[in-house]
Amino acid sequence: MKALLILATVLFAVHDASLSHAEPPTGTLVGRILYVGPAIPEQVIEVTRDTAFCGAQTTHRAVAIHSITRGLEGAVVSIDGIALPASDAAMPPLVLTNIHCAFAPRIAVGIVGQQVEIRNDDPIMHNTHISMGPRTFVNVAMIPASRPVGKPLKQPGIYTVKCDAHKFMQAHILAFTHPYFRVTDETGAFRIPNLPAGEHQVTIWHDTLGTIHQSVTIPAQGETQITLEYPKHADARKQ
Amino acid sequence: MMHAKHLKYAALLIVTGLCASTAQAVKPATNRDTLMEGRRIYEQACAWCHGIGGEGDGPAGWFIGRYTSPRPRNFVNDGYKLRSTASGELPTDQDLFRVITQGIPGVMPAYRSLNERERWQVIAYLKSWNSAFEEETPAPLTFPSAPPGPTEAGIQHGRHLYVKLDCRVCHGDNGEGDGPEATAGHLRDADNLRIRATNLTDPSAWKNGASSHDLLRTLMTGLDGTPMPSYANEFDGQEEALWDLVWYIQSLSGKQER
Repeated sequence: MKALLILATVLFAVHDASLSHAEPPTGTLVGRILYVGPAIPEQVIEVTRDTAFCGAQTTHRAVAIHSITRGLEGAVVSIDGIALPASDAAMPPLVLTNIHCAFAPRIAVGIVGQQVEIRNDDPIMHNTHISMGPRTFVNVAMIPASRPVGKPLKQPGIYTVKCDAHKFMQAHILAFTHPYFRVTDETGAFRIPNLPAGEHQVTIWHDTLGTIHQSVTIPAQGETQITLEYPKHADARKQ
Repeated sequence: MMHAKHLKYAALLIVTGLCASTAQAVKPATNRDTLMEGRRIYEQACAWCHGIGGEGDGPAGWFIGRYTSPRPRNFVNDGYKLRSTASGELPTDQDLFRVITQGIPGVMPAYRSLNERERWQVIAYLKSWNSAFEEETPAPLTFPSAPPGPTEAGIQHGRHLYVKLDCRVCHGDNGEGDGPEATAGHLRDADNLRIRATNLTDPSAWKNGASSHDLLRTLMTGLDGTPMPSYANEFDGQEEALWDLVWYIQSLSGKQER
């Protein structure tokens, strides 16, 4: 009898523990960001330094549109208003590489606390200068074959990345306090899994087209699909 | 005669006592009284350029920095150029104290007319505008001590580094601030105002100080808000090479100030 009581107590405790540790219901947000406005032509920029390696000219493609889907590449889709406590779990570094006189990736996304790792794979010197507003995040000389420079993202927001040696090199880093963000692929598509169920505000940011918002409802399980289109007129877009 | 001698000793004692008391002036705790006093001093000594609210928009500063760099520092949300800390970090209190005490050549006067306590009070007040000072704990970099002195070989090596690290691209082949990036007008500050490259042959105009240690500090920290980057990563573990570059840059003006 006593053994049965102990067994029942243990089973109850295990059941109770499993309930208390049950994960909240989550769903997935999938979608595509479109741009159907007027074409924005590539910008041709004269290179004034290290032309032997970088070339005499470079082109800047401000808006990359997929020819079939009309999807917008390089937009950052994120969920607003979620701030998770800092995780102790190790996060892989957010690698930002100077390569072929450009930054790769041009749009990088990460979580506050995550290490930005700056590399230089070019045989020329770069000067990676990252700022948020008027304040410098880091400004470091990167000679060829130099060791990577690391620094954790301090605060959420938009960091601008430039190379003071090569003005045409530009990139952005967006930092969040949660993992619910993605950069759209070359077809404009994205997928954000494990979102807490409920109403959310989605923000889409693009370095040239600006920012738009959309409300979504995430079910307790399954997927929610959205397709968002950037307004054709710049006035309708918010920066 | 004796009377005069006693007077001389008394005067000496008074002066010594005053110096000692100044040197002993401790940094006051950041409390309401400190901030109130810092505000009073700031509004008399600093607000004309930096603005009553610390946004770098004082009546003089508005004219000084509207079209040309540098603008007066915005204490509310700007970063800081002159630091002993890593690139992107806030300055230490000692950094702020050094700048207020020494001034910035060609830009800001030295405020030795304020006593040490007053300088600390004004530092407490200007820091109160920027919440980052409450969230971050700026720590100085570790600066390598100087080797015995410059050698001809070291200076030659410094020249090699000067070219390799592209210093000449901004500062010019002979350090006169006339490198191709500078003369082409490509150098911009955080406000997108055009700035000059420092003339390395004229140490009296170096904003971050002209001693060899000042120069080494500038190379390691960079000057935030300008294109001058930090070279700390490149010289990590190569302190002797860093000093060679310092000696070479100092040789451009013929002054080897320690």
